Amino acid sequence: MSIKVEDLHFSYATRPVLTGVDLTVEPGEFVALVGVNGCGKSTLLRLIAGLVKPSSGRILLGGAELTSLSRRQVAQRLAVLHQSLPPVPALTVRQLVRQGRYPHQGPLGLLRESDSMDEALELAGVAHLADRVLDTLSGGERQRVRLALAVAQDTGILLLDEPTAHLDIRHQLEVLELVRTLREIRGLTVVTVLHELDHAARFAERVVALHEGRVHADGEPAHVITPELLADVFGVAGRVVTDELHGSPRCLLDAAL
Amino acid sequence: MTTRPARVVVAAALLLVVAATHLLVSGQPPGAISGLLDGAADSQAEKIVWELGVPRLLTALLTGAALGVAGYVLQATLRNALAAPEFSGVNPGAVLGILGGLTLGLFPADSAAGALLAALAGGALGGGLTWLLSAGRDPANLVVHGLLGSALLAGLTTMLLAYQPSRFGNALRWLIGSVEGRVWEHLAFASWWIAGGVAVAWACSGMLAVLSPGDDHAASLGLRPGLGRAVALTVAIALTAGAAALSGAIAFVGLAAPHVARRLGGRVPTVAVVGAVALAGADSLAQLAGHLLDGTHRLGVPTGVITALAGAAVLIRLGRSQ
Repeated sequence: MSIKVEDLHFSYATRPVLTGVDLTVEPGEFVALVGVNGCGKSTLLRLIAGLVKPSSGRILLGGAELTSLSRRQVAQRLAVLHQSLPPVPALTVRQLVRQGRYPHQGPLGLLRESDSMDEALELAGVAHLADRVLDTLSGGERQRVRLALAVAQDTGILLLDEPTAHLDIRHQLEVLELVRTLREIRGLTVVTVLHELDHAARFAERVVALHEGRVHADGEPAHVITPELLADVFGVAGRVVTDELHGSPRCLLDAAL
Repeated sequence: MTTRPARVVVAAALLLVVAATHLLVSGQPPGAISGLLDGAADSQAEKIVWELGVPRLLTALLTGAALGVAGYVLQATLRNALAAPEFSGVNPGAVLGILGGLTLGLFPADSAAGALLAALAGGALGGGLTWLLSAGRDPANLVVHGLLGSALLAGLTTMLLAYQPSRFGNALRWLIGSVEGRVWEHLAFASWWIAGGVAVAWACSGMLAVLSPGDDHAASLGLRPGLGRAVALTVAIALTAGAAALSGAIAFVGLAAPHVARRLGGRVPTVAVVGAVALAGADSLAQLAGHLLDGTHRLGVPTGVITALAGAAVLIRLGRSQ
């Protein structure tokens, strides 16, 4: 499912965050949003998810105007992995993943077991954790469970807000590899906020750099991640080399400017 | 994890044991209880069991179920393990409503519908007060404001009593909470109300589950959090008012029962059973204590005293484990 953002403006109170963002994501694309803290990348994600309303501009999901869709219709089209999931006492993995059926089932009734739920647990590699209490899992396991929830939601779009935050490097890779696999199997359109430029270069087909409320650069990783970008957007002097094995750009950071 | 049929059997057995115990400790001969199984209250003792013992048991079960489910709904929607009818202004408001209505003579003391309406109005007022105090803030903080609101409402209730001290004796059962002295007429109305409330809460259990991790989570799964919370709080207020109209300010069942139910991996039906069993059990203890103190206290030992003592112990444990 495609995402189209047209001339999007957004302010928190009087502070402008986004000042005219245009972005088109084709069905099945894997896009990474990068930029410094507070540049509005998480806000852009929340706007696309319909969790906050833009000051002006349009958002289209699969050609349908976001404002014309109900909360439930939006949830049938896109799943969101927020930065964190607040703890819920005694909540088990199964109970959480079952919630993915909520947008398809409607407000009334219990959340029932279903095949798509078992499939989601299986795909995310957490079937063996199904009866564990969520709070007893490690950070990496929790992220995989949350991806299982997103899979159970059975949407065309997956939005992720820093899915690798607070994870050690092995689990960072594991989570991103899982996202890539899920995208291939389910044909998902993926838009993810990433802090780590090397991860963005390695896993995304397209990198969008936000700077001062607008799209500063947009394209293939090798075209976007350049020494100029490091200097202009991140305020860092650095070199960009090519990773021989993966063919993706890698940043060697030298000094803060 | 146990299977659903196994859980139902355990719940039914537990309810049966608690019900039998409750009737047996009432002091009537066991023959009078088993004699009722033929469907007719033949002897004087059987009549006493049927007219007093059974309604008292049902009052305890219904009140416990209503408070347990109300507490479960509040804890899920307000995301606070200490949320409970008595800490959200709802229960104290309902009690104030009943006592205010009685003092002003708005309804006769034996009117079930009058007490329920007054409890509903008071409960909505108490819940609304808490809502206003905490407007625009994180729902998890609602409990702090609920405590403030509850203290305010309790103060108003005290003022009401100080204004007419002669009514204090009658007011005591509402203030402490008691399942004694309820008859079939009271139950006829309240049972439908509470059963309906529990059914609605059950129907909303998917919504409650989606709401409990957070507003963003709920919205991303297709639920408007504000709308979901309004529905859930309405159900909680309705159930609390139903419980208060029957038994007054029974404390701690609404706080503790949801914790037990969650540990058992259960949801609305489990918490209803846990609440019912807890209160019927507490009332059995109250009756036993009443026999021990026989002759010295005309009122007997109100159930609310037992739940308050047991609940305080639970609360201390919870506070330490957090």
